[in-house]
Amino acid sequence: MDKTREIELVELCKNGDRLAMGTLVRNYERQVYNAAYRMLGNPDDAADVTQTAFLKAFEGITRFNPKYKFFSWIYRITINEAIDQLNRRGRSEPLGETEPESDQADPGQMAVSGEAGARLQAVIMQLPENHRSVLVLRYYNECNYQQISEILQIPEKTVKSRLFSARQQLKDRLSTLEPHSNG
Amino acid sequence: MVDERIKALISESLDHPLAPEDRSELDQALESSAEAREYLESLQQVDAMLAELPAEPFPDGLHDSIVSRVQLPAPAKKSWLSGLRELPGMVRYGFAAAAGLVIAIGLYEIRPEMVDPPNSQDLMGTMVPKRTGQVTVLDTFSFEQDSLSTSAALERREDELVLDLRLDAEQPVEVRIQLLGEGYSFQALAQSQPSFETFEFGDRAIRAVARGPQEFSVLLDPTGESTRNARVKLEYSSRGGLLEERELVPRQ
Repeated sequence: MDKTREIELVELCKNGDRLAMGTLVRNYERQVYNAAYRMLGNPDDAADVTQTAFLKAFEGITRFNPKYKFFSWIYRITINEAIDQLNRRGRSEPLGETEPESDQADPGQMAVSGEAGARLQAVIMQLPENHRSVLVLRYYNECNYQQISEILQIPEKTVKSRLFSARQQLKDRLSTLEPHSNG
Repeated sequence: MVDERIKALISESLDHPLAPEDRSELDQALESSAEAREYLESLQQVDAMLAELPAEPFPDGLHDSIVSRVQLPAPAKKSWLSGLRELPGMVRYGFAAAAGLVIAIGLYEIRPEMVDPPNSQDLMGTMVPKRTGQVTVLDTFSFEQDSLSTSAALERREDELVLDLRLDAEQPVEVRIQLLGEGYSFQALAQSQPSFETFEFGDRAIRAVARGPQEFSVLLDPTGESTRNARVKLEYSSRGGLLEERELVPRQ
């Protein structure tokens, strides 16, 4: 959806237009849900956060500044809600507290679906939240550095360094799971 | 041992093309260091795994749950339709009577082919429920291409099944709407800016040609009982060429 259309829809929402609201929800709901799922690792929590994020976004729609993109706004709310959810439920798992199962985790051989996908998600869940959030936005919402910077309100240099750090941690964690080293 | 700066450049190279001087520095490191090449390969594997992780299936019913709970600000201005409700009683009932007459034709003269009722404009705005009260968006789509911008939504307004359609076209665009499911039919129309160049309807199909901003709603089922069967096909064409076709199906 281009920005002009998005602004039009937001303006319609400000006037109570539910069709416009439904269109915006439809356009972003899957990406928002997927971001929430990758942050939380649990479909029920992800559904809760997706719903809350949209409710908050539209509750404050009159305050939305059209110089930003709606998706930046909804993703920002989503990531913040996901982190709040983790904190509320005490599920924030610092690196090393939860070990995924170790069989068939060779990064070079792993087909990323089913159990292998679940193991990768488990490793993602071991990342600190601020690293996980840049990873999620980069890979599951296809955001570039500038967009991630806008969404998380951090400098682009920080986006770059967090992505580097997240990948490094994933590489290290996944290689410790390898039953046989690649050599 | 790979230098941290080279590692950082390798990571960045996965996200976008590097600046020429950084690319050159990285290429030199990769050429001279087997460890750097091994590091690149391992990060590429991680990158591929992350990129290939499939999207989690979107839960059934979540869309409806979201749109039914969202509270929006009150409309800032009244629509053309709301003005109709403020007309004197005789005029208002005149509209309703005209609408009833044409709808009766639609209901009792079951014709698969298109018809072009000369007074179709008169019934507009009289019979379709407004988007107030409880609205559940069952499916939507939007499409934009050069001089055409359009969106459509299949909705349940209270108990009534309604198709809402908007378009804005610089050139005349033909819109064909076909009902594919059973148990419902075109019952009534509401249009906020009546300026179709052509408008034809049968009980299972509508063909309209229009340009400029257009908004209209079609009542499909006043009872809503057929909601689960509702399938609506939309086709947009211009100058004889198909621009887009889409099917709206309740996502629940």
